[in-house]
Amino acid sequence: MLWFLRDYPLAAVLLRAATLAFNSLLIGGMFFCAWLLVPSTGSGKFSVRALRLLRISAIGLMVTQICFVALDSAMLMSTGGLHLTDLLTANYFLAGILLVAAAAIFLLSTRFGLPCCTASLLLIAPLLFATVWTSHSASRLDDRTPLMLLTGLHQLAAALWIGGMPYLWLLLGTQSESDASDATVRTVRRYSTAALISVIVLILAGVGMGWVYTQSWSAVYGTAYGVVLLAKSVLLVGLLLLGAGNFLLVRKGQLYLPPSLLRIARFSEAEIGIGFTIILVAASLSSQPPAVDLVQDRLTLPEIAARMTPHWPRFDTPSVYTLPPVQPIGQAIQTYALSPDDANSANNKVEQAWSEYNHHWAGLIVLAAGLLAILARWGRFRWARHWPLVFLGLAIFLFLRADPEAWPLGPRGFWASFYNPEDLEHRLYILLIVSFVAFEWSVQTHRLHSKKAALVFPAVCAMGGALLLTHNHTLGNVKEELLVEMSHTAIAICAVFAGWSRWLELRGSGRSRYIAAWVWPVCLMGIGLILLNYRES
Amino acid sequence: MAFSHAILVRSAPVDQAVVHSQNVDIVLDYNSRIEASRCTLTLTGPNGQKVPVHMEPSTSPSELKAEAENLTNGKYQIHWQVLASDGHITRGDVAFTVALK
Repeated sequence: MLWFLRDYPLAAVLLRAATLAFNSLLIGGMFFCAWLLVPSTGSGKFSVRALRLLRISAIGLMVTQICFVALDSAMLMSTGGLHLTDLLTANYFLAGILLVAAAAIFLLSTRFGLPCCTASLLLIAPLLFATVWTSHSASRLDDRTPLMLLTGLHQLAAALWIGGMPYLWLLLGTQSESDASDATVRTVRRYSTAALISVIVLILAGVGMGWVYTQSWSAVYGTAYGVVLLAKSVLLVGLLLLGAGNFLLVRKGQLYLPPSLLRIARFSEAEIGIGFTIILVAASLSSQPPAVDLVQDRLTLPEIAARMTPHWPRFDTPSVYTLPPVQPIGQAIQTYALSPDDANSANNKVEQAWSEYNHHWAGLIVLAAGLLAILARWGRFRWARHWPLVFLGLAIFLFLRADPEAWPLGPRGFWASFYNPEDLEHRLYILLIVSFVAFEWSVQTHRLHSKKAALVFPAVCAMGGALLLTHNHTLGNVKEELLVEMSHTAIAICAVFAGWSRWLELRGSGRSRYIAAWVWPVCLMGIGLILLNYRES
Repeated sequence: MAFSHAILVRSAPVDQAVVHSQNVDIVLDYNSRIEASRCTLTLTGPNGQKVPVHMEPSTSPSELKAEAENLTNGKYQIHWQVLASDGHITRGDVAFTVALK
């Protein structure tokens, strides 16, 4: 129960993200198949794959909603003394039932094949209404109706654009390499037009909501909500740049040349990845109180500038013996479970110095990896292709110093440390680092020739960045925590772009591949520099 | 606050207030609509014991109202948990002291 209480916010964000993602996939897929797909395009292979994805989306939506309703209900019943019958008419419960019912009806309808008539689009209304009903807009005291309308338009546009993209990718994947059918080209053009309209609607509705929820620049840069909103905007700009490349290709009218469709398909992979990362960030945003409501403890520009001003990194560490005494493991878990604020706010000067030293060495390691990755492009520096091994230093550093209270530095035993959530997280990071080092080093030195193995590093990098974006512990908008969040958010964005640009380098071709090959090492260096300037006071 | 979403924008008594009455009207006002029938409010007294409170209907969709009677001198803590209309659960505390003249 203690773990459950502590992890409620993260679980709620992840379930919300999964709901939005599956809902977008379902709505986008229904729209793509019923409206955009030129009838003769639906080859057998595409129909089978699209139908499978639609069914997965419907089942995923049902499962995540059942989990979300169960989570909220369990929380209210265990901590609020309520019975299940008290919750049956709660908004979240009714919205959950509506989503599950709509997804179930759609699932049954797929027995007759892909959605192909306008009538099937009627299911979009309940799917959209249920998610809007559990959004910020539904709980606002003022301007509720226009905000719900804007939220609905924003979510619908995101679903048609981002949710429809995987179906476009599936369609392009079923084309022969030598010839592009007329129907496929027409479908791509129709999707391109729909995506353009969706992007315009998405941005206009987003700007409208953003203004209502912030209402000043100080709320944008000075609150947790504003920081997440900025992160979402930066990712959107990256996605738009990729989308613009595809859009221009479609408008040039060269779609009958097979490489054009292949390029669109490859770009779509990165677009899908960044698009669904944005949906994850949107879920994180929905768990924050709107910035306009946070009038206290906002960061000011001088405070941000003071923290961001470059300082010489700290390469001297306090002795482990000067750190505060270690709590017994049971007590540590209790503290984390019941008051994570208390657990995080206890950092004294020695602990801050310890943490900054850790971050600065980690920064140096990541910066070195980025530099070596760039050097490895020249024949004279072939030895630099071993750059992934540098990350082993990071894994060893994390193992030794991330948890000074645990083995090998602290009194807490190796296995006992796994009971502490923070220690466990660090151990998992170490495992993740070692695994992607093994794969990427084998790829860089041509020990491994599998194309799929080469994608492990970018996938882990992009997923790590995406998860870091949900890892938000800013409670009550405390300034120090927000300053830390800012640097973590910047690192996460760099990681997402690093992952997907490396992906494009591996999967793309021509000029885009050349550009992507430079982007990811620069992003790695960016992460290194941010870590080198990390401070806690 | 344990979780952040619906936030407390106003409370009576305010946090860390000193009240001079044995009957205290409690009003908690949030930044968003809440489902009052699914929100909980408990009061703990100077010795950590639970003190009964009477929930009262409110005309505002963002407000929780209650009344505590026959309080004695000492420190009290209001623990609240609200369910916002969008399904997010938020919890927090408001402390006050009763000093009868």
